[in-house]
Amino acid sequence: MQLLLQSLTLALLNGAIYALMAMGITFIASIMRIINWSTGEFYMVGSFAHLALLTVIFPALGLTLPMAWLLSALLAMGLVFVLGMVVQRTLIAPMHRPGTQAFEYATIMTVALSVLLQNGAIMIAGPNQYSVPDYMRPILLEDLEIVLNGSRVASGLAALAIILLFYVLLYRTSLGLAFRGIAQNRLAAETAGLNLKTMDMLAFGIGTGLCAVAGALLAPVFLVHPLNGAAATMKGFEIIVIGGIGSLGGAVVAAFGLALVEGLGATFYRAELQQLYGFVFLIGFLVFRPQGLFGHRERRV
Amino acid sequence: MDFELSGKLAIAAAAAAFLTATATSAMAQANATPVNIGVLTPLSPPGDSAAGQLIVRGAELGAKYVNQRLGGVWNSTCPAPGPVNIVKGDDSGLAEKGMAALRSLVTNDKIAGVLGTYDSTVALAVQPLAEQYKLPLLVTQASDDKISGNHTKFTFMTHTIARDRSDVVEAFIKSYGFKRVAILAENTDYGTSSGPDMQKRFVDGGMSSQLWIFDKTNPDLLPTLLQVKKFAPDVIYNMGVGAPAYLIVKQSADVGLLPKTPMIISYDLPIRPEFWRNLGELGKNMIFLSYYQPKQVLTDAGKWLQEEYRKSYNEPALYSSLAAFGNTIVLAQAMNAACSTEGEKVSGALVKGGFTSWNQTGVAFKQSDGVDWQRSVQPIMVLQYTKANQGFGDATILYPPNMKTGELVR
Repeated sequence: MQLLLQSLTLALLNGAIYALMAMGITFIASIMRIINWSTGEFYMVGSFAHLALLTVIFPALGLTLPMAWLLSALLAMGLVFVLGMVVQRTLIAPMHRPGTQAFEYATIMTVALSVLLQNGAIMIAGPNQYSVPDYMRPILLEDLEIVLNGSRVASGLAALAIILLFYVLLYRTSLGLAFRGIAQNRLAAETAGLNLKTMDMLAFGIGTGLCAVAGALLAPVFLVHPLNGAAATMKGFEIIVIGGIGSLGGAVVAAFGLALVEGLGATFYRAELQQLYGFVFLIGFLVFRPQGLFGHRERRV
Repeated sequence: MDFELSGKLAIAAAAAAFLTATATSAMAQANATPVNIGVLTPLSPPGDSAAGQLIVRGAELGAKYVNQRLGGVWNSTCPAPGPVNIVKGDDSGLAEKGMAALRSLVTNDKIAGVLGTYDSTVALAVQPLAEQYKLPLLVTQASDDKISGNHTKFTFMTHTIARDRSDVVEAFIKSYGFKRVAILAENTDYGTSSGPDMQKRFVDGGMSSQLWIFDKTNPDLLPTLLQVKKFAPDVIYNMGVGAPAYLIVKQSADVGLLPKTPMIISYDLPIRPEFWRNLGELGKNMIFLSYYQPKQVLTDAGKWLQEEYRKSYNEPALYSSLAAFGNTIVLAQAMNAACSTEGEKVSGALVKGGFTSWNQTGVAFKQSDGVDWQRSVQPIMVLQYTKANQGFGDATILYPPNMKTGELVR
């Protein structure tokens, strides 16, 4: 019972972080119709930015704030949001116009970008692993004999809050309405007067920023090193396929579903197959519901 | 008088000959083509690139030692000594990348020997290539028994093998009376060969032991550690390498296994500068295996390395650097003994000779039976930190008994 409760709690906390990563990927996919293969590297850049802010810049400025980790994670998200917009405007936008092979070009560009960012991180930060101080002390649930890592709990809760804010942005603001319009029909949105160039740039910045804040929040749990985004990329793509590409609700549900399947499978069956459970889940969806949980079948003429 | 004159003449002639030889040698070395020695090691993830960086540092200082102290090496146009030059190859800890990098080192850089291999997967993959190219391969830190067990002509091991390490861990665990041993091994050659072997040894020795093999690329080990917790071990053997080793420590604390249950890290990860920075208090009471302890007596070459290393990097040299340094100077000594850089001759010299390295044990490669083929046996110690942020030199030596400096802190 204790084991079940502990693995369910962990699955919920992991699910929140998985959702954040997957929403970043699926948001870019739904607005720009491209897949960002350098998602994991923006996650990694976010974790490094958080490390630099929390362990070097804040102490150098003499900043000793309560919950400095949250401010630092949000600043890291902001920095990567700007980086994402610069990358979109300089590397992706030039080819993203009608009549061009935008999807193929973006695929190659984001794959190349992932290699560049990984190697850049090795050159700048070296090959070592780093960690940031824990956000909170461990939480002991004495009656249940469960110990929870404070950083996991804090990062899970922060992830839920950011997801909520993102929903508010999408469903309660005019900017969100514009994004939803573009996601439905780019051409119609453009004819309605929306500047797609600016909106694409903002969408890429927001998407990469969401991935970056996931990396920042998880820094004390999964460490900071140049390859820490690899797992994020894999999980993120599993989730968006299961949830349905372009569906934000699907991404959230699939994220919690995947975390649950992985966590329970690994705890109660075989731990070494943890990564496999997600793929079995994914293959099941591809066979029986290829459009994903909330995706729609597409028809083209 | 005649004798005196001839004596003086002889001294003058000898001095002239010495000066001429020195000048010729220096000129020859200055003019000679450098002898390239390859360092094939992980310099980027997913390999343990921190270790790779230490290996490169050791090899580069080894080349400096050879050039400054040994006057370079005799190359194939013996007797014209040439300086040694280190050429790096990045294997990323992956077999296929290691093979490609070695091919490039041989065909583009014309290396006369190679050292630095850190991952067993890589060492085993490049071993047939070394045979094909007739290239002496000094295995710096890979430890799979099969490497020496394959009985190949051009492979030489100076690092401990898995069996030696398993012997030490088994003896240590028995001597401290542990009864339930949890083993966490990664899904690499190292983990999948040594993990089951360790479990068998513990079970055969009357202990209860369970093995978990985890995916090295998966950063979330909590479900595995929940199973470990259910097993209720009295000691955990952490066979992660690089980031997974840290993740096991951190996440063991998350599920409440640490600090109650003693943990043994299967190699000298805790001696690295980032250990305390990453783990803080969690590193306290950590037990680990090591092949070097700062208080041990070094050879003149070893002392030179420590001095130069400190000057260059402002920190003491660790085992990875010492081992790569040792490999470089052993290879150079073999080239000098063979009066050649040809693989066949250098390998022959390596088998026949005894060589100076960084520690007092020395290096000799006998063609013994089984896994002792062309392998120079080095001592292993079990150490324990007893305080947070403790210096490596102050760690307690728990094993072997003749080197013991304190008792296990639980």
